[in-house]
Amino acid sequence: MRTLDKDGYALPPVYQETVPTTENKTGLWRFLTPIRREKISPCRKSCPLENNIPRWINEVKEGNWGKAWSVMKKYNPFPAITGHVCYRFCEDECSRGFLDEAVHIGEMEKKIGLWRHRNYKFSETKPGNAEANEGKKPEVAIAGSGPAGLSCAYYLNVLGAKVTILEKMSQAGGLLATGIPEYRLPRDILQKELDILQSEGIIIKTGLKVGKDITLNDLRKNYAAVLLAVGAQESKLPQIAGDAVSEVAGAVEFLRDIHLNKIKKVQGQIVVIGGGNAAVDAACMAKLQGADKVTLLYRRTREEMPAHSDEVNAAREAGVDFVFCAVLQEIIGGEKIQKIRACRAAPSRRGERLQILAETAFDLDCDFLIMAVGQESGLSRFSSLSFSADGIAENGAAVFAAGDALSGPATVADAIFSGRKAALLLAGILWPEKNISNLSVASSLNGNEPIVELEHLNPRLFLRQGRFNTAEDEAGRCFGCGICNNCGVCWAFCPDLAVGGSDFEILLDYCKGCGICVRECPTGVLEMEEVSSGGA
Amino acid sequence: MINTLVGDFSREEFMLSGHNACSGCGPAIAMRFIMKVAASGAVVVIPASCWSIISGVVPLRSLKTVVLHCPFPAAAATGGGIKKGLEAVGDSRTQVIVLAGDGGTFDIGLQGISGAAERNEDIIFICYDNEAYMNTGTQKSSATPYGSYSATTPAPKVKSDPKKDIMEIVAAHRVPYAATATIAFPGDLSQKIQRALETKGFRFIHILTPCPEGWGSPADITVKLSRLAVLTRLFPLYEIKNGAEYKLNFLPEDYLPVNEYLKPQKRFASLDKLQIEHIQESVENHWKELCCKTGTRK
Amino acid sequence: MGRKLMNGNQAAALAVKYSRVQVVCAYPITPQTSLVENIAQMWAGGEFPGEYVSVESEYSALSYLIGASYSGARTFTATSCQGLAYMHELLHWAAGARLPIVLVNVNRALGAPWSLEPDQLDSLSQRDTGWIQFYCADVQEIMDTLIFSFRLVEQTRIPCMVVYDGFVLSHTYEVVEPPLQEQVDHFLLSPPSRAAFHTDKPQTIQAVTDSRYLSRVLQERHLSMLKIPGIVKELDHKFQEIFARSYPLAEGTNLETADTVIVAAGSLAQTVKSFLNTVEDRKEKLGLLRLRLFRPLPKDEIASLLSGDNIKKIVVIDRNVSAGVGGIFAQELRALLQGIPYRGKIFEFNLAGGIDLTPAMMEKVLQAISEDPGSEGKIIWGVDLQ
Ligand SMILES: Cc1cc2nc3c(=O)[nH]c(=O)nc-3n(C[C@H](O)[C@H](O)[C@H](O)COP(=O)(O)OP(=O)(O)OC[C@H]3O[C@@H](n4cnc5c(N)ncnc54)[C@H](O)[C@@H]3O)c2cc1C
Ligand SMILES: Cc1ncc(C[n+]2csc(CCOP(=O)(O)OP(=O)(O)O)c2C)c(N)n1
Ligand code: SF4
Ligand SMILES: [Mg+2]
Repeated sequence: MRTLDKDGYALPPVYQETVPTTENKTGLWRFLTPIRREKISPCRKSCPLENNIPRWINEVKEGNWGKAWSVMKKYNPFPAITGHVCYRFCEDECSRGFLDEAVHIGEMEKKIGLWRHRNYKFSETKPGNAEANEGKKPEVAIAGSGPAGLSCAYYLNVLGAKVTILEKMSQAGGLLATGIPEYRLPRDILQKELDILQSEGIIIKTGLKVGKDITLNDLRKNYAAVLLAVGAQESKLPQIAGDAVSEVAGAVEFLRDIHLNKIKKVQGQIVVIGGGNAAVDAACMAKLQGADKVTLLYRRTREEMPAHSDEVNAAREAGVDFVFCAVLQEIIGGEKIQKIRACRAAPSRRGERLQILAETAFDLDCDFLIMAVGQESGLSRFSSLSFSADGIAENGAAVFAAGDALSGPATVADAIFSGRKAALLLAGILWPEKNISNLSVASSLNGNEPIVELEHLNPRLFLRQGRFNTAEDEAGRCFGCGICNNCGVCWAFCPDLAVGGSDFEILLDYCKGCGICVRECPTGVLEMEEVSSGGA
Repeated sequence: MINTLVGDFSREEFMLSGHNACSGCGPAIAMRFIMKVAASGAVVVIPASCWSIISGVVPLRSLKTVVLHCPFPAAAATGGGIKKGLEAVGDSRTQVIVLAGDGGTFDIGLQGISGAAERNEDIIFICYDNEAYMNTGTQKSSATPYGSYSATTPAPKVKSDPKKDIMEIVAAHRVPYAATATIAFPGDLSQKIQRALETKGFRFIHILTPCPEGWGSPADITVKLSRLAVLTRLFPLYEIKNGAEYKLNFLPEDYLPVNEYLKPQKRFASLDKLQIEHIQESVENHWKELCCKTGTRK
Repeated sequence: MGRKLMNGNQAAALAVKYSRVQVVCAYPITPQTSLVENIAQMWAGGEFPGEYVSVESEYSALSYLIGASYSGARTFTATSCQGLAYMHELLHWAAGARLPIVLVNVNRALGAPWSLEPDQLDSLSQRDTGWIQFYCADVQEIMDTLIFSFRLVEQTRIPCMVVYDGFVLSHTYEVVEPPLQEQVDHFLLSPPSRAAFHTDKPQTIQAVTDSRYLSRVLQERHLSMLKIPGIVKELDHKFQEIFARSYPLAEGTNLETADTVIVAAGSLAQTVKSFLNTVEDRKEKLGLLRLRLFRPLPKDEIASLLSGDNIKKIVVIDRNVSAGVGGIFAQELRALLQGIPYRGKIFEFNLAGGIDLTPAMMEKVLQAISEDPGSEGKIIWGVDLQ
């Protein structure tokens, strides 16, 4: 650049004309290339629903409740319910737990559910699925209105079927209504869920027992497909000497009677046999309903109890006494039960043979005995049918099974998952030609998906920080394992400014392949690959 | 931005892709952060160092700001002169930022820094410390830590003297602002640049910037090493105001053993157990001193 | 303004003030000290409105000015011997970066051993740094050349070193005629000069280059240097118009008639001049060539001054020695006279170490070269003649 000064002298060049280094394609240096590969988070892996937890947490973080619900519903249509009752297997595996404390996933799930409840507009919704298959909707019957039945109904309805639920009890909801204590699941939550489903076009008929009030064959005739989600509610009552007395009940039945107000008051000394949730809930309920003393006998040690520790603790707080390594031997009494006799067993692990210790018998006063040593599947009533593990009737009939009925007693989340899986199976029958996209129903994992390991993550990027009160803040504690949540850490640390755009794409023209983005990525979604894929 | 130590900062960039830093270069990251906060309305002075290459070989330039190069030992004085010159021509607004390596700061530039600090020149002097003369191929500087290999302290005669405490030297000049920072804590770093911008007089920021090339560490752990340096307390993050008011900016929750930091670096490969213990001990002593000065109990 | 008695350093300080220098930055060293003290005095008293910055070394002084000059400020520093040597790296930088800095070097011998004598090697060993060099012969010239230099450097963006002998000029009082401020303002470009950058335009200044680019830079610098004599002449006209004084690139005395020409720079030339004036009716016809602009060497000017057939012998007086070669002025002159018609002999008379030139010594030299024509090619050492 030549300029003249005020006296007209030519001035020498002072400025060097320069050009941006972007001319220089440093991508040529690279021999490893970072790529984004989403992985399954440990929480998702451990969730019976395979719920894509980090995805909706990411929306909660921004306060996008609507978006959070849109992600959630593909996996779990009833977060208000699971938010209350689920045992939160996800939190046990949360990667954040290795840094400070697991993210409060269940609480956020509950809040999404409650948000949905608050924001659901009954007036605006049209019964049934508006877009799909109007006019020629295939009809499906579902026996059982527990979480499995409700979940399947929800998804089939979304996919465009006309769904009728038949429930033998007077109240819909399965164990949500008749099993789980109200202090854990307030019934208005359940009711709201049922109201929404009905408002969406699902028909729920209560007081109709399939196999009695209407036969399976009738259903098969009138419906394109049938799902049996009849639960596993019939308590097994093992033959114990002298047990033919009226003061003995199965736990599920006991709870059901309480919930249906058939039992108004509990009195005297109650003994509960069993170590599962049903046993603990029944014991707890008995105590809360006025029993003088409740003693729970479990044949193995405390550690071996299948019941969730939260519930055991709740029962303890309620005043239930626990006797471990004790086995019921005999019910003593004539017309009326008076005592039970039990003896000691050597401590053992689940699945091991129980070893009864000789001469250890002891008696307990007992006015009422609750047995919770197993429940039988409602499918046993339909003995003509057998089902594959996926719940497909093996005789080729369009009959399916799901939930506890198929798996045996499990959890609400398992039941919802089972209902979701069944919905996709049924959809295959209802619309054989149609490719069911997973836009509205998540399909299940095939087990080959990469899982996030702790070493993929970068916990030291975070400060130790206990749980927050607001969901938005708490969501910020989530590492986002396995998903790209646009945190921007890759962008932030790139020495080469080779991460750009709003979705942080790798700019291959400039990426030198140092791998800092991969190392620093807090979610473990970035990997180095030994190909120089594109770019300069 | 998620709730991490990274912190929020602007997406506007004042550095350009295509620069010539090695893959995984710590000083490149540091500059990017500095520029985000300070580039607009500032000129940058760079003495001989890796950054004299990274900023662009003619006709290229990698910074979206004015960069003035100067001789190796001259940075502080040149910076002061630029500021004085700008004032003389009626510009009292433009900030002058000097960015020198550890060689240009701890060694050959020290006299100039001392002079500029004593005169309280109105500049921000930033030392990016990669703990050796990297531009010339990893020779030792007085910032090279005890036990480190360099081309001029080859094994088994690795560096036997400790790193110079530049912060104390600067603090002894009673300058208005001095701080340490490192690239794994960009939020903290940005804040310190901001604080420096808001202060008048001689401001000094010492930034630890791992150098994969010179440290013999994999390129991908540059930021991780920077973080480990803080978590092991080898490189505490603190500020000194007016040479006397010390403030610790980050208190590691649990102290990691220094070996976690040393192990991935080939330059420390020859250290034996005793030497590592020695380093651990000196880290702890330094930490204690610092805690005393900052009034920190831990 | 009336005439005043002052020494070289005082004159230089005044010139700095009149030139409205904006940033002065220096480090004290004998015999420059009183120069910067004078500026500091004026600065403290409010007479000098620029900035006076005391730094911790000559290295920083010139670094500082490089910075200030990058910013476009008018800058000045002064030093001597060790200080100038200490600045060496920056001298190159300033010239390479085309920064219009003016520097006074008061000649003094470089150690070891320590000495305060006015040897010229300090400035001469910086001859290849790309700076313009003027060697002044009296106090008035110091003042005028300095004022002149500010105009020259800002116009050409080549830094300039104004050199004069330690003590002999720096501390010796002479009557001078200080200029009027308006005259100086009229002569100089009004500061600030161009900055090397625009604060709002991304730019890297003096970044690493490849050989091709660098070669162009150096070529450009060389070509710019070649133009300096012409520009100096032109500016001198202007200077003369305003100040009624004029300075040649190189000054000839009696060259049309002389058979023996003495070549000298700085105060030595003054000594020789008075020798010419005092000594009459001698067998040689003596003449004097005073080197004033030494970098770039005004080749054509000198060649034409020395082109007369009358000149048979040239005696170059050096108060410096490039060990193993000889006096630097002598070398330069020999190189310059290569390929021009002059066919006479060149003798070297060396006062390295700051030996004082006396008339007696001059006589001895003249005698020596007339008696021993073989002394061409040998150095006649002043110290041997004492
Ligand atoms: C006491 C107790 C507490 C529990 N607490 C929890 C908990 O806190 N968290 C958790 O995750 N899980 C809990 N569980 C387990 C969980 O409730 C069940 O795994 C889950 O409800 C199973 O759902 P489902 O839909 O398969 O069956 P169910 O909920 O059992 O529903 C089956 C439904 O089918 C109806 N039905 C049966 N036969 C017919 C028929 N022939 N015709 C029409 N209707 C029929 C039943 O009346 C019932 O309504 C608990 C279980 C019990 C027993
Ligand atoms: C006076 C001088 N001596 C030596 C050099 C050669 N030199 C250039 S850069 C450098 C080392 C720079 O080290 P540092 O300041 O730590 O910066 P880094 O290269 O590590 O980024 C050296 C020795 C020089 N340019 N100038
Ligand atoms: S040698 Fe080190 S500091 Fe220099 S460019 Fe390479 S990685 Fe960066
Ligand atoms: Mg270095």
